[in-house]
Amino acid sequence: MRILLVEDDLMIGRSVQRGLMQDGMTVDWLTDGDAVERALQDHAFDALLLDLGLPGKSGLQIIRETRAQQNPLPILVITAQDAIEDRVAGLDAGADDYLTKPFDLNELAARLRALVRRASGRVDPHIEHGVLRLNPASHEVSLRDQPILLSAREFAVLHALLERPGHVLSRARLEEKLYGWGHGIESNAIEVHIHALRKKLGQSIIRNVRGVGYVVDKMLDNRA
Amino acid sequence: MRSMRNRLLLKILAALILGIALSSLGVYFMARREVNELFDQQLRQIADSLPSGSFNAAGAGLSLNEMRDEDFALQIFSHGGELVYSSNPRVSEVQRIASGFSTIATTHERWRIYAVQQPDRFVQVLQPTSVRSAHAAGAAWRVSIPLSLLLPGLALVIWLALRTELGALARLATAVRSRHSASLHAVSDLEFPSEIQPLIDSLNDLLRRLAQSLDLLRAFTADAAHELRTPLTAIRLQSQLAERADNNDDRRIAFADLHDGLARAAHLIDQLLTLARHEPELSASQLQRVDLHDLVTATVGERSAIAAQKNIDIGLIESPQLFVQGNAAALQILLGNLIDNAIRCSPVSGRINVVLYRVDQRCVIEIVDNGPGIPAADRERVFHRFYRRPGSAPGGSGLGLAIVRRIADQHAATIRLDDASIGSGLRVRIIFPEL
Repeated sequence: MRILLVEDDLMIGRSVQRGLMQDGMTVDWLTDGDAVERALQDHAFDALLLDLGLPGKSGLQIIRETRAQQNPLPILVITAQDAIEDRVAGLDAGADDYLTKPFDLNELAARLRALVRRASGRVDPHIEHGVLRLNPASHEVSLRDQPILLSAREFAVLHALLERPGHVLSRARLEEKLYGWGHGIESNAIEVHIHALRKKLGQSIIRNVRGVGYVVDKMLDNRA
Repeated sequence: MRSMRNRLLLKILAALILGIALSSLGVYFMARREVNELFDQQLRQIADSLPSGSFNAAGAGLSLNEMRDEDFALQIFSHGGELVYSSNPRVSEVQRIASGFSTIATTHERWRIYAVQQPDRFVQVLQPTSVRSAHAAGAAWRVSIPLSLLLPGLALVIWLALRTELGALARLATAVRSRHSASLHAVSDLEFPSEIQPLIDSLNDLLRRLAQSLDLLRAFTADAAHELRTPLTAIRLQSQLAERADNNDDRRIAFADLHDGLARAAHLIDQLLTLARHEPELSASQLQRVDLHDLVTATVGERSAIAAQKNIDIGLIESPQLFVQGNAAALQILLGNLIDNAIRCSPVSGRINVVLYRVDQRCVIEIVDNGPGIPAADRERVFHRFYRRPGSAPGGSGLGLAIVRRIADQHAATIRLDDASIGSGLRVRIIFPEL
């Protein structure tokens, strides 16, 4: 899950970024409203985490412009303004949810997961695929009820692929989901994670479409 | 407690009694003059009506009753000046005197005398003046007694009238007492007499000013609560990260962050308290002669340790012995805040110059840094509470310059922000009023 965080307060931004990354999310952080539009055009995010009181372009303005471009990106607003009108204005402008400062890190992560899940059209927070079961909140993966130990990156790759079975994700897209800005990506990093996943879950779980990318097929092979 | 009603009543009664006394006195003197004229005429009539020849009271046909009633006395002297007749032994002391009217005092009494030379004798008709005074006094009493009898009735009427009129004060008291602490609207002045108007006007003025400062306080509290959310949010997140940390490195980083967050919140609270403590005006007791040289030297010295952490070179360029009237503690906060700002905004290894000088009888403290400066368009807004410029150095509360402005206002000093003469930095000048 790749999140774009827009927060001008350095301490809050730093803590949110660290906290969400501990939850396995990839977090890119902007401190200025003016840079948001460009970032959304250039990179694929799963959700936008937006502080309303920003220098430069205001949070509300960013929401309106994003929705005006028909961008369905889930938007979670964090605001210090607890007046109901402010929250209503945020939601009416097109935000999906809001949190009032001071907020809890776990709640923030849970709300983000829920927003992304709803955006992908699922209701059940758990992702089940045949005998494979993935819990996005606890990062637990089980195969035939046997817990499987995955690294954070391996989990993120599997999560991204299971989010939309049958949909081929390019290597670049997977890298985007895994690595924020400023992280050096080794050229074969994705291949290493795929290799590890196949070793733990079975060779056939992830299929390679040569020249296109990777896919988890809609029906999982029971023999895997 | 002194009762206005009782005092008014006493004063009015005293004035009434004085009035009665004065009018009685007037009546007495007027009556006395008339009585004098009347009796003088009578004295002459008695003398003129005396029969000639040897005198005998009965034969003279003198009304003895009249003589007795009005205490007249008669003396007759012979040609030789010898007393030949006296109607009353009380007048024995009175000698023969010149003709006409005169007043003579004997040992016991004063006498009004009419003396006349008749063909064969010299006649003196006498009357004690006390008789006349008694007549005049009687007239005065006839005026003053009924007036005095009216006094208790008048007092009651006045007392009742005062009670009705002064009831306006009681109504005002009720109107004020029935308010709760937040109802600071003006007292309606329609129902009160014009004498209470000045009181109501000043009361309303006080209420208006109270409401204003209460509004300011509310706005300040709301702003403060809102601003506290940001450092509290950071602290909450930082503490959660510290809780989650499962290795020493993460824990160390998380706690260092948490300390920063707490320091920021503490700084904000300090600044809020400083702002709240500094009333817009200094009282006379807070004013003293402040040695600016000592103040600048001490503050720069104290802040140099913080500057050293960023390798900033802070120095005092010039600092003559200058004095202003002011509050040393407040001025130290002002200068400290300005230097803190300069340190925060200066780049690592920056340079800050502090200068104290006097120009046109005005003392000036100048602080120049080589940070990014403040664009002219923003130089007023930076003094607003909680305003932080986009991209401004972290750690500020947004209150520092608001405090500086407040303290400068207390000292009637002006603050000027402009560009440093060299480089891009900011020059701040605190210009004190003329000595």
